[in-house]
Amino acid sequence: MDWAGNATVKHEFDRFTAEVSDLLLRTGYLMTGDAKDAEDLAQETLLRVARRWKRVRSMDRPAAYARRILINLVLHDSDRRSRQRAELQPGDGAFDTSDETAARALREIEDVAEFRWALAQLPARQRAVLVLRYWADLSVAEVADVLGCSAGTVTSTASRAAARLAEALAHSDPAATDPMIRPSLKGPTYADPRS
Amino acid sequence: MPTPDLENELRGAFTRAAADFGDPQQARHRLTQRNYHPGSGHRRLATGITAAAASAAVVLGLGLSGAFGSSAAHVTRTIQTPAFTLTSYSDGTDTLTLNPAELLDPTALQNDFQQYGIPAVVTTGSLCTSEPAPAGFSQAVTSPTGTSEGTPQSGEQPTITINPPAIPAGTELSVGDFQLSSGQYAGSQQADFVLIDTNSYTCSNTPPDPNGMPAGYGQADGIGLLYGGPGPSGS
Repeated sequence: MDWAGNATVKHEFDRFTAEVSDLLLRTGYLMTGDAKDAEDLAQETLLRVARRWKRVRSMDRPAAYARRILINLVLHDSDRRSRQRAELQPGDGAFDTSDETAARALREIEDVAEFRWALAQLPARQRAVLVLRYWADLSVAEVADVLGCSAGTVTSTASRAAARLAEALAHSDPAATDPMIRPSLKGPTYADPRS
Repeated sequence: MPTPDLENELRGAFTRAAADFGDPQQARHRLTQRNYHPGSGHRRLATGITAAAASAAVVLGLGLSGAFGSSAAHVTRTIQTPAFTLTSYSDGTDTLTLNPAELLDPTALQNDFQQYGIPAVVTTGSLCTSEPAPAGFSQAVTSPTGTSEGTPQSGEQPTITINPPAIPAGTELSVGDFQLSSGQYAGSQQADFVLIDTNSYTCSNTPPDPNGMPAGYGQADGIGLLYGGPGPSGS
């Protein structure tokens, strides 16, 4: 199929792009903590969807497919850096923060940048679980499907991620939430509690 | 699984964090203006490859570099239009990739060059030159893809790398893009890159010899790229 000779397909994809851009940008923003990285991720995602558009256009939920690509881009990047080695292995959830304490820490957030910073301290897969479950509002089964793991892994990862998030919030340095010195997701900036 | 109370707090925190995205309207606009070429086989891959590689460099931390750059350079900014992609790297270099499938808007490219701190005169159907040719071109501009030789292929996307600090004071980059209508390469496009004296140059609508350089310019004083020819498109 030649896109140049098929204005309908191009128009259809343009409409899809307009519809899905906000979802991709905000998901990317939550996953990276950086607006520019989010835009780059969204662009890369749309390029990849475009390459498969003939197949994607017939899907029931092409937006969900695009979101899955975006999440996987972040996770693959994370895997490459080996920052989250064995993040789902026993020992990773070595935080004894209770759910009550975690909920209180979230309630007491004064600056949204503080939350973004704390989120950035999580391994990418834990971040993805929280973003998909509590922002995208996917069911546990749907999150498991996106991440290619079991429902049990999603629930246990969500618990560990929430505890770790609360721990990060408890130890957040207000200065660190300054966008100019905010920890970048491009480098291994968080301290691994296992080390 | 976290308790319902914690889950509610998480939902609220994520909603606030997502709403904090700075100026999504502009980002959305930029995304929708880009040239994705859905469902176009190999050619769409070629067309999108610069942007894809650029963003992948950010996402994957791979780093891209031109002839000037270090392997650790990563993308800091990208402008993609249907006709060209301009990418800036952390080492201070920029790359320009032309899309043979689209007509170049010289004003848009010149304005985007300015945004990247590249002094330039961009023309279509003509090329501006100075006499004598300013020195220093090879330090300021290179072509990672090399200058075109032989029959240009329609899927080929010429790329040059620019090192703005190396553009000598008092000079600027001159870019001339031609649609060749006669000669051996009729039907192809030719993009020429040279330096000109900001205060003294003339423009000619005669394309330089595809295998040579404009009058007064040596082989190291410019780059000529042939692209968009009638060869196999790869689609």
